[in-house]
Amino acid sequence: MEIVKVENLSKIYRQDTLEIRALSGINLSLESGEFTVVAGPSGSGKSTLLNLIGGLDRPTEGRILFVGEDITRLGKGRLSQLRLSKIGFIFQSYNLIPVLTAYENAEFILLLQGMPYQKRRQHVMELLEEVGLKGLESRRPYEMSGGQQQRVAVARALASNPDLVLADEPTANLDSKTGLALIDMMLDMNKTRGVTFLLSTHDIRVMDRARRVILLRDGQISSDARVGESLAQNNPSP
Amino acid sequence: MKAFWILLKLAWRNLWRNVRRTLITMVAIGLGLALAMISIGLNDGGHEQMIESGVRMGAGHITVQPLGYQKNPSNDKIIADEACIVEALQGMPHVREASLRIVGKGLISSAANSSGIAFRAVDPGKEGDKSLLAPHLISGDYLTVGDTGGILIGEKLAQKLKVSVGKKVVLMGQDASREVSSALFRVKGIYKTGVSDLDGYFCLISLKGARHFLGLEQGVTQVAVYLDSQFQVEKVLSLLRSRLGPLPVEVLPWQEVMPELVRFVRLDDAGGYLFLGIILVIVALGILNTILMSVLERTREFGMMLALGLSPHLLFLMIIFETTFLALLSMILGSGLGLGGHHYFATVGLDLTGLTPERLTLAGTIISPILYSHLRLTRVVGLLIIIFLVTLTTGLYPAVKASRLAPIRAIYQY
Repeated sequence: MEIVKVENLSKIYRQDTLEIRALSGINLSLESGEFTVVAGPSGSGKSTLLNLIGGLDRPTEGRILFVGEDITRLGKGRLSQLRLSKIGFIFQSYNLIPVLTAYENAEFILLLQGMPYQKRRQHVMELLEEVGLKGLESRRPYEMSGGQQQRVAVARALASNPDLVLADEPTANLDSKTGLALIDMMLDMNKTRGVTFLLSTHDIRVMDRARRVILLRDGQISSDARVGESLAQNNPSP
Repeated sequence: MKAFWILLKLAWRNLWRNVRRTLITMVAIGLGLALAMISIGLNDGGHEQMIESGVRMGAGHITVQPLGYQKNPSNDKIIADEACIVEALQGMPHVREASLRIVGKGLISSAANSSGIAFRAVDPGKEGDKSLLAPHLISGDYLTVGDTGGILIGEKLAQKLKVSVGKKVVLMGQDASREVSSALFRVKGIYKTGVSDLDGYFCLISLKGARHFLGLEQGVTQVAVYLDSQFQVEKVLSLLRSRLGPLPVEVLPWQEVMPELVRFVRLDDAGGYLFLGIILVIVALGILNTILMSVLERTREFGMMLALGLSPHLLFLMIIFETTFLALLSMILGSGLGLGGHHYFATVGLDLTGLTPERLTLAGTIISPILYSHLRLTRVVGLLIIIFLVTLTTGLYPAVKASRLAPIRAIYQY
């Protein structure tokens, strides 16, 4: 099943007379259960692409179909609702609400969704156990390591059983061992839960673990390959 | 409902992120509120003392006098049937005492000198009248029941007339038939209030003595009605007016008898409100500073929360909850401090004796140099509502600012 379909997507940032073309003519689709990495150097448009797919920003041209619905035409409220129920987010840093505990952070979205207490508690406890944070539920973000904090973020992103999890450079602020452990955990979640992941990274070791890698360069897809396929063969750019 | 719960939890915890800043703001708002309470208490207390003093020195909370007396006072305007008024006042709720009086102006003379005076004739047995001068007697005694020839004069007047207790003085004036009449009185006592207008001008005689002096068989020029409290004037006034309807008398509240006192109280109240306004502005700026700072430094976090799916109006609500918590805590602190201060000034009083060499009169009343706070519940509730609304209104700007954030901009630019 096609979760996301991006058609001829462009994003231009304008500042006074200056125009910065962040994305240009992007076409791609994400199938349900895929674990995809968007890679590329800084400024290649990785974060912009994720933000547009997540409904956090609006494209200059093109459209994004999320489970068949064109989200570029949705209003703020509807987009907010879509993010709450169908998309999980993991950011690079400062990912958690500092005044809430690990449990409360993971619970946050479910509270906004109005899930009943018993069901919510059981679900959050299971998730925290799954991400290896059993026993750390009552810790505040400042009492946890960067890796632990990102695990809470993963638990929170998965809490609402979303169709898609978007992770913008989730390992950027972690040491390589912790970063890879986090990616392995996300891969595990992808396998066991069947959740679709779309990650951005410029870390080659993260790219190694992905089943599909989309390479961006200067706002355009320079290659899009699945495991076992040659990057060069799948390069859509001339 | 569950979303509200997490928002309340977040708002409460956010408030304590920067404990020092929250405490400083709370103390600032609390002190502002306490200051406003104490100021209102002393202001209202001072006004009530002035009004009570004016009422005691003047013509009671409610004055019954001959029709037209207020516009053109004259010794020939008499209430002939005062018993009718006394009867109407019998058993009326909130009425503490009714004092029958003859008031007028005349000339007092001794062997050495003479002076223009105002006199008041009272029933010496009435406590309300007695409490005016009896505590200030420096020699002699207060008038006694049945006394016809005794007179109380002030120290300043006694010095001018060169008389002492037991000496004779002659009182001259216009009687009820507009003829000049005179009567001999003997100085019964000399008082000193410290107010030169009283001590050099005001004399007290008995009703019997005045009737003898003015050639009256009966009748009075004024019935001063004292109530349990100045706040019952409206109720008693309408009842009394309805009971005395057919009589040729005017029934006036103290506000009409002493308009200059009303003007002073209003003017003083205006000053009080200006002071209160300044306090409210300071309170508002304090809150705005705290909430705005706290919003600005959390821009990225708000962006993240919006990205996760928190709707802008729930974010708005969260900031409003934070403001509300801050306001409520500050109000509890401020109320504690303010009521404590009020209690102190209500029992011990604010002694301003050092600021005035002698007792002051203002708008025809003696101002006590010791002010006692009087804080009515309605004033406290009103003030708390105002502070709460000011706080909430001040929190609107940061809340709107936060709710209008674009998540992407908030996350990546802050």
